[in-house]
Amino acid sequence: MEVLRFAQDDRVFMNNSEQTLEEILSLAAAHFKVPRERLAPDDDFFKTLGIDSLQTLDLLTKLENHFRVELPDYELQGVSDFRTLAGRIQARL
Amino acid sequence: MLDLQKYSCLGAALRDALGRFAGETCLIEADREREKTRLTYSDFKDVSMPLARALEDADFDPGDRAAIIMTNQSKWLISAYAIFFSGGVLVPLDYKLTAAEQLQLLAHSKATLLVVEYHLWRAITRAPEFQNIQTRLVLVSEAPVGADLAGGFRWEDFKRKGAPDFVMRQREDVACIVYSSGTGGRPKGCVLTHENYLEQCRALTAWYPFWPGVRYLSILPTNHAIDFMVGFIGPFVCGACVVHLRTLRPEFVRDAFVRYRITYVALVPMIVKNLERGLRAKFDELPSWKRAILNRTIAINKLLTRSRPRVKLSRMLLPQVHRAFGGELLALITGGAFMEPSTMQFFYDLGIPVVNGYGLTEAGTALALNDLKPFRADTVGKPLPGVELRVLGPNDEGIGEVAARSKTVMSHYLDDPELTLETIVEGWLLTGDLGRFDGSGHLQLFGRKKNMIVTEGGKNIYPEDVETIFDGLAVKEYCVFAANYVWPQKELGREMLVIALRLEQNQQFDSALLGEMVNRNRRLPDFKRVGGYLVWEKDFPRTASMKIKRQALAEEIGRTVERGAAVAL
Repeated sequence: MEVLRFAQDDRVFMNNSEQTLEEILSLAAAHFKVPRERLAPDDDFFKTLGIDSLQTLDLLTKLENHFRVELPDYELQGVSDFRTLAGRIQARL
Repeated sequence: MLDLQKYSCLGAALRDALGRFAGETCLIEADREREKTRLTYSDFKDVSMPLARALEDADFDPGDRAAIIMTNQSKWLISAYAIFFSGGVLVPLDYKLTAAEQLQLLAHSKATLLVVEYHLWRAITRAPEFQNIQTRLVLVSEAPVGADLAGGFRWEDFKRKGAPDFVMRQREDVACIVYSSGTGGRPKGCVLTHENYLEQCRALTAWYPFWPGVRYLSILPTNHAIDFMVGFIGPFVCGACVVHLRTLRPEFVRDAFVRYRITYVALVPMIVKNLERGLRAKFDELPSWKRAILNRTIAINKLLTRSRPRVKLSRMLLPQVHRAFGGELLALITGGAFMEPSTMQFFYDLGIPVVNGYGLTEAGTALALNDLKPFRADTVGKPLPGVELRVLGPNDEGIGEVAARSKTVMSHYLDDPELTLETIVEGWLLTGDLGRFDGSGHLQLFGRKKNMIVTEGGKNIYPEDVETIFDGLAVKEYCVFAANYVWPQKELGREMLVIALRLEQNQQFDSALLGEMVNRNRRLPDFKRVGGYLVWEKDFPRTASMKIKRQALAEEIGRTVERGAAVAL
């Protein structure tokens, strides 16, 4: 029973992670006015969107409001792809 | 302000400031819209003395080195003061470096004490290099209850009762070791004396004084030479107030201007450009008739402030713009990197003076500064009081390498006499920057002689520091350059790194190699990444000891191929 419960939790977590990632990609596309299909989970968003670190902080505010979490600036340090960003947000949901 | 000529060290000047301005507010710390800390000079003394006493009891001796790795916050300044009070040498490290890089600089500086925020300490303890850490005492701030501090002590609990003994230092004693670069290659630890800082502070406040009631918004990292001076030493010796924000989110930065009615702020070009973008977007949203009125008012303001700023008049002419900056802003101070003149002019035309300057860590904070008499967006200003600048070996246009002589120039590079001899020649600091003076004594910069870039965020990046990330790349050899070093420009800006690749015989440049380069490049912090690559068809020239002759290679590449041949990475 214990094993089964963990397996279910894992599945739920994975689903939520994917959903979080998808929502981030959609929000980033809308915020920076680019077609959603141009963005992929492992894209380097600095390069794909042509933005600097301050503009990523702008995006972070949008994401915080959407997911209703608060992320300190340092959570973004060293993060340059959507998948890792989704992981950081998911960890605080 | 205090008469700094009378002081022999920063600790003594700060100690007297805490007494002289006891009732004034010296520090405000806000996290988003929440104010977390507000301290008077007297409060500041009360919280720093127990720490100084605890350091004394922990055998932190005069001359011992203490590193701080923290974002801008009150504990940064409290710790720094306690270290100076105890006669220590401060080693401010960049919190944005990777844990491995921080450990490397900790080892190089031989710091015996480290003050660090918990999230940064956690990353440091997880780095493979952590096992070799020699730092004897670690104070960790803001650690969650029950967190494993890996041998460190909780900053908040590290205090002792009883008055600590003040340790006086002399002007020639070392105050700080500040790293201007060198995380991947040769660490460049600038050894700065108490005299360097006291004289720098005297020169800056002669032109731009602080006074009780001034509120300085501290956004640049405090480990950066500019913020250390204008966001700590300068305001404190004048009784002014420093406002710290725990976030750099543009909307909270904008709020802070208004909430705290900021008087001065120092910003790197990236942030100023962000503010410009925001304002331009707001202007574009205006109906055409309102936009026409705004444009006309800006033109009038421009005319009336041609010879000098008239801030009060500008506030009356453009009240909405000035209200957005709190209504009491006297100047935006910029430096640390190249700023586009059009951006500076944009703000000046709105009645917000932009104080542009030029300096390098090796020379304290600033060598030249715009005195706004009149505002000149095309120069980096005039030499500060006490600073001598020369242009060495000028060409037909008067452009040559800028050299500086001043009491603010560092003593030497830590443990690197060879580099010191190359950099300080007969008392003159060779800056590696190319410039000339115009007829009115303003310094204009025209590019760099040295192989490096300065990012819009004010970071010095040396190619040698990023090369290690490409170690083992499946090519015969490679070398990273500053593009402007290979293809000299007569201006600053457009700075990027390029990697030159020499493939093995019969090797083709393919997608696997490109993918590997992209992946490795992404392991670097975004501001350190290589922007382009080119494939070079010859073996690299090397010295007898097999080191790449970088200058010779750069010159040959520059002669042979166009800058446009570098493919974006």
